[in-house]
Amino acid sequence: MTHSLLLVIIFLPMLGSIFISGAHDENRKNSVNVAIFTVLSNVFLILKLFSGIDTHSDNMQALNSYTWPILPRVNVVFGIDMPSLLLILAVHLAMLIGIFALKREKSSPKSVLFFAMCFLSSCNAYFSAIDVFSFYTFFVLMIVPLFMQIGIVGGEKKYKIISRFYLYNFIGAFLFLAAIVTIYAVVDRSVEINQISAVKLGDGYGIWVWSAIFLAFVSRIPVWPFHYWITSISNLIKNPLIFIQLNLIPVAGLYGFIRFWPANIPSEIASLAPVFEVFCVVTMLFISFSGFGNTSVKEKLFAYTMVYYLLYLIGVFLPTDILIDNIAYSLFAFILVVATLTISITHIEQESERLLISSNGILCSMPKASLIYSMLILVAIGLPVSALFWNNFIIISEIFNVSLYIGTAVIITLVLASITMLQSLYGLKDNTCAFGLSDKIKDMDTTEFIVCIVVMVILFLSLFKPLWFTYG
Amino acid sequence: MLENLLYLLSEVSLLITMFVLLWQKIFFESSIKSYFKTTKIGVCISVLFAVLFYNKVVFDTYFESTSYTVLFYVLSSFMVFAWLSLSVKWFVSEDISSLRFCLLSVLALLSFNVIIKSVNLGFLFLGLLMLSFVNYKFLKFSEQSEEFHSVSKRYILTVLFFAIMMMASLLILTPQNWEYAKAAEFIGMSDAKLAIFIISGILFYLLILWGVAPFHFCFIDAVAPAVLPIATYFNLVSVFALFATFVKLNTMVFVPFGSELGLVYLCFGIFSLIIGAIGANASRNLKKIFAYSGVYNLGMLLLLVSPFTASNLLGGFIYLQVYILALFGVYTAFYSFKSNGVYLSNLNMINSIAKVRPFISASMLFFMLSMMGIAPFPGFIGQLYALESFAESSSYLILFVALLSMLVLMTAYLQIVRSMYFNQKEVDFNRPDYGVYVYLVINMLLLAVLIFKPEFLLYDAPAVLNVVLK
Repeated sequence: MTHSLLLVIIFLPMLGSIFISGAHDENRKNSVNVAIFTVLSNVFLILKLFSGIDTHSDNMQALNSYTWPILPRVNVVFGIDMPSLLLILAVHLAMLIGIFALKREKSSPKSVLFFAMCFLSSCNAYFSAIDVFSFYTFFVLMIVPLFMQIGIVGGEKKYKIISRFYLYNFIGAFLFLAAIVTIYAVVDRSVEINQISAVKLGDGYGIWVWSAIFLAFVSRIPVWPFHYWITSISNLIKNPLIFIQLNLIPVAGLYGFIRFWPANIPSEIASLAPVFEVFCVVTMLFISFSGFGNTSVKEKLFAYTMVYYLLYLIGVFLPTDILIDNIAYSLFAFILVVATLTISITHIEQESERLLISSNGILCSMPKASLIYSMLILVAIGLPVSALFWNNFIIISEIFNVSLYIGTAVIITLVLASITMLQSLYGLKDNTCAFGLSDKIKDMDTTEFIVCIVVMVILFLSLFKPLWFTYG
Repeated sequence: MLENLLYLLSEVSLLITMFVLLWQKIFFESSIKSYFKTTKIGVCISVLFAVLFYNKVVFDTYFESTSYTVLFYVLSSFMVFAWLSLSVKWFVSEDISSLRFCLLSVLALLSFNVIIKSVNLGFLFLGLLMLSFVNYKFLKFSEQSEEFHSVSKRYILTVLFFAIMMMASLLILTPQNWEYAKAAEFIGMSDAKLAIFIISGILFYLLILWGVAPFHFCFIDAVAPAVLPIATYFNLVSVFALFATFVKLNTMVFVPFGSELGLVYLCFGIFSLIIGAIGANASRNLKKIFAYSGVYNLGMLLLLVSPFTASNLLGGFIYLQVYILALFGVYTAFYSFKSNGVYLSNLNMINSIAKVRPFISASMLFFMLSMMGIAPFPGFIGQLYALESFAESSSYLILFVALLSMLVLMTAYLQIVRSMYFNQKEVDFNRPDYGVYVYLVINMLLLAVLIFKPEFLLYDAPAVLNVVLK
């Protein structure tokens, strides 16, 4: 039962996208409803699958495999463990939040929802992939729908940003492809990720193959010098659903490292881990300073997001694999926080654009949005109200355990990122900037408010038990 | 005598089809569609007899009939059939008589039959010469301007030059050594320079008809300005037959120089990848973009099959099948790109077509993603096989060039995606024929079968392909 359930979870959004493409509706109401129904059904199935697996086991469960019968000896294997299923759940909830926010977006065609569902399907497959072939397949596939969405609603500068998006992501993808064909050529059969360390790649090849894999994953994460594409795109994307998906792309890179790095990495490249950590810390410092100096609320959120992704990346690079569960718990809360903040900020920006006013002090006229935004900022900066608190605490203490300097630098950047978020809250709630248009400013609508409250409840419960929705 | 006639029925039925077409013209003044119907029936009957007498041949010193030759003849006929079914839409739309076109199509299939089955270089030469003549007449067919007149003239002059080169090679070989086995023996015993001259004469003529770089110029020159059915013919129809002939020549005639030719194919292959990828990016004409993409794919195919081992041959065959199916899908979509009754061929003319023709655009996207080799679209399997074989032979430079040129070629495809999905609309589009939808669906289903249940389409293919290696 659990075996087929995983396949249903992977392909259900794809089925939803087919229904969306056939929906006849001018105002997109049907397509949005189909998307919500699809994602909610999948959330239910994911919870059902959680109850059917052993969350304490390190092994992959609910395995499904398909062997390509002729050539080139491809064996596609899907399976999940607790961290991967938790990430799938987080992605679904984030997408659900984005789809609710899309109800307000009049300029967003139904093709965006179609491709968003394709993205969701490929994300599910990526997080469930066990063998190298399917891991690569869905690593590439998930960027195609996002590419299409950016092109469709990307605004005036879309050609520039899709070129960058294409260049960085496909170079990374091709490096990964070069690495896996080399592995295939050596072993002459399909390889699972956990067996990859046993592959003897021969003198000199190992370092090239692992460097290619490393660069492929790092191209999805905003580490210097790969940070440019994602920053430039996120600055231009206004659609909340696409912004949320764009923010999930670094999760793909991070997940790649989680799967490949701790158990599989050979010594010649593992010895370079401290160098990568230094790169991460420098980028964190750079991004947190730029976020601090920036006036746009969205860019501040983006800087905050990237700093945290890099924190998790440093956690993965540490010479231990005991942090994986903590990273997964923390990522779950973090993805929800960022998605909810995204829709709040989109609402604020839309109102400020509609009335041609500055966003400073705008929350004084939006009590519901103000409540949500304030609570989310408290969660985001790491106060003990969600799973972020405990798990980040463990990750940071482990970083300190390994290197005092890196730990100190990480703390500085996190403090800066927190100040950045508080700064944005202060600006938005600054009543000295209140204007005479307060009666014309629309507050967050009730549906969105309820969704945000539900998210807050989920986050709060995760403080006590990250997997509170399971029986065990 | 009667038995021999039976074995020739596949070829005879094509000749009869030509007579029937002429008879239709003289006595009935038939419609455009009826000529196509007759031709398609003729093609089906020819295939039926080819399959029925799959291991029977009349002049066994000149021709052979094996499961290998029948496989490629059936595939070529299938392509001709599908191409005729598409072309009828163009003829009906333009209201032009299709008699000459149908006659040439039958003649083209007959020449495919000759070159695939031939085991004698003299007959191979005749087959290729007939094919060159058909190609030239096809080009004349789409002659609309002075510019195109010079294109067809250039084409026939270049092709004739290479035909003369092949004739010179054959004269050196002398007629008693034209049989493939004897030719291989003669080449093996000849002085290296003489052998290279003979091989070049034969090979270059084949490659110029095939369109592999650096012999691609004629092919590109012909495809870009040609009308849609002719561009489809050059890009798609003759590929299977020429591939089969190329493999036969390399496994039966050029064997003594196998390793030297391996290096030549390596250079031609890499050159084709680079030229194909760069050329596609420099073009704004849709047919030209896909013509260059054809050069790229032929380059990849050449690199893949050139070791001529069983697994490489199977990999090449899979690659070719996926490529042809995807390209056929792209050309099918072209038949629906019409505005004010005119077929559109410029990139900017199809701007925003996705908004009014979402299914056609989505299927075009599917075919292009397949041709890009993006996983898990069908083209990826062929691509993966090719790249894996480079890695297996430690040819990392080729792997690097292949990946780089793939990345460059993808930008050309993305230009098309950009036009279809992201740009502002410039023209109003005509409603497409429903037949186009049917063909697109069939094409996508075939590709889906190839990816999920390849054994249905590749049933016994490894054994059939191995016949040529024995």
